Amino acid sequence: MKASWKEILFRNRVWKSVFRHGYPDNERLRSEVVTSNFFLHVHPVKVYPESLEFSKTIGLGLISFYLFVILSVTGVLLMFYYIPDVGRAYQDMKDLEFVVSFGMIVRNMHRWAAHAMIVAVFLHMCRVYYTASYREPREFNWALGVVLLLFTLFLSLTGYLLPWDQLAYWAITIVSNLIGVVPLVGKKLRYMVLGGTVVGQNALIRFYVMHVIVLPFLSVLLIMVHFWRIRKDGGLTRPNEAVTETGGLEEDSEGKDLKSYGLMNLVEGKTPHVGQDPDRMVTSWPHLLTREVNLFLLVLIVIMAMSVLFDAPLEEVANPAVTPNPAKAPWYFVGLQELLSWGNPFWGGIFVPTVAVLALILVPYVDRRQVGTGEWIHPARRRAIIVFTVVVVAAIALILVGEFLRGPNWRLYWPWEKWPLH
Amino acid sequence: MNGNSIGRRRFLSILGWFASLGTFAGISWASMRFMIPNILYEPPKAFKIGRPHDYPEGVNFLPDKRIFVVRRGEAYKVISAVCTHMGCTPRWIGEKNAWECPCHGSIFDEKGGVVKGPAPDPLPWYEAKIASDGRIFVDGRRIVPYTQTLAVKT
Repeated sequence: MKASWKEILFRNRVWKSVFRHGYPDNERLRSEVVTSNFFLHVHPVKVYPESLEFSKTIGLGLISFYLFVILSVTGVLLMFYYIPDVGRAYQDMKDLEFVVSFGMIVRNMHRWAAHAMIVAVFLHMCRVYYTASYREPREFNWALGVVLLLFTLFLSLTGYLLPWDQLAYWAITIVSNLIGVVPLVGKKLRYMVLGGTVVGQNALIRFYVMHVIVLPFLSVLLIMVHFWRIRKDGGLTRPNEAVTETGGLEEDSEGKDLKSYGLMNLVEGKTPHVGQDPDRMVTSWPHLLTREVNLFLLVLIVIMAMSVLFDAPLEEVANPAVTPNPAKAPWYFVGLQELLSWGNPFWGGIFVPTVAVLALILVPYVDRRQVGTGEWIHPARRRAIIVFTVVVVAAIALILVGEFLRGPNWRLYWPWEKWPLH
Repeated sequence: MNGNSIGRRRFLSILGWFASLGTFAGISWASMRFMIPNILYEPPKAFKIGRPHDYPEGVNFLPDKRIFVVRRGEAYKVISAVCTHMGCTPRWIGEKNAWECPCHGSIFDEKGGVVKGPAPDPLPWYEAKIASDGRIFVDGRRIVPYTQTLAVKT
């Protein structure tokens, strides 16, 4: 009779069979909720307060992940209407835009989240570089991150063909010929990727399968390993002094476990670590989790707002006979296209990107110092920062030139200049 | 069991490793091979186009076949309309007597040779013959030199 609705809802056997403890309003339950919940247990039970500061990471890794979640959900929705057939694909796109309820919004969300994810993953990489967070013992996770960046690009690229409009068709024609430039095996590889010699039905179904099954599956796998390794490699990097002031550095640098997996580390007062790091740390519930949820809501709102305000482009149906002038690759590959226009496709199309990726993966194995780890743009890393910044600026500059300064016949035009009409 | 010969256990273990690795190597190879199609349903590389006199003097673009038919009087030539760089369709610019590719700015002269830009090879000329029904038969699998011309008697 006097039972409140709260008691009826939460104090019954069914609820307790799912959640084995009450609302986590004390430290013990707050650690238990994280360790006993499948979805939460990727988190540490406690985190350093400075790791929660927004300026530490700008939340870029999480933003990338949230965009991936949005892309997965909207992607599955789009699959219900889209049929990868050269005769139908474009019509299905039109239906999604004009016939299906909220189809345009779902398509827009998928497109804008895809673009945003490339930017977010790239910026995430820059953040990790500028805070020197790739160093031992995180070298391998950095390498995984580089692979995930490539997966993001491949996912975008394979999705780019699916609308089967002129934009899609010619961008993929250009990129597929890029594959043909690979020494020795290029032609065979191109044949295998396209399932033939031209961008046709075989290419469409191949890109589709890669886009909806193969690459997402591999990405999920790698994302899980990437997250797992963050924990196993000691969480977010912290500047050394933050550790030293509590005397934790020596234990840390000897490789002893400072991480808070066990309950031993968690409960205030009665642990071997009294007055040390675990005392300073705050519980992930609610400090980390509320931030995560809020960030997700923010990402979702931004993507939804963009999707309401701006429509994803859809040009005329793919026509192998008519090359648009100029024909451009997707913007994230237009820098590569710009590089290609300078001469021998081997150097611009294969050599430079391959060397760039290998160099990126090797970064943590080359930079073996410890100074400045976990700090933004530490002055002692001056040379490393200049080199990286030059490469990043060059990559962005190539994209800007290719995207905004190239007109018909790939000639240079200023943005305010009019293109001659043929 | 003497010291030099491998024992039964060791022999079976090696055999097991070979069998397992061999199986996976075979499956991997078969999967790769599976991905390479044996037949294609693409537009044929050899095909008939119109009769010679269907094409006026000059350079005629046949968008469906992605070729140009070049007519100089009664001499006909057929050249590919697929840029050798990245596969875009070059345009014939009459005033400049050249083909220009819109994608990366390659320019080909009237003989198909690369004048400028990143294209690695000239545009190929295809073999052209008169078929029994009087139409031009183009064989895109046979590349001929610029000097080879299809001459039509009037």
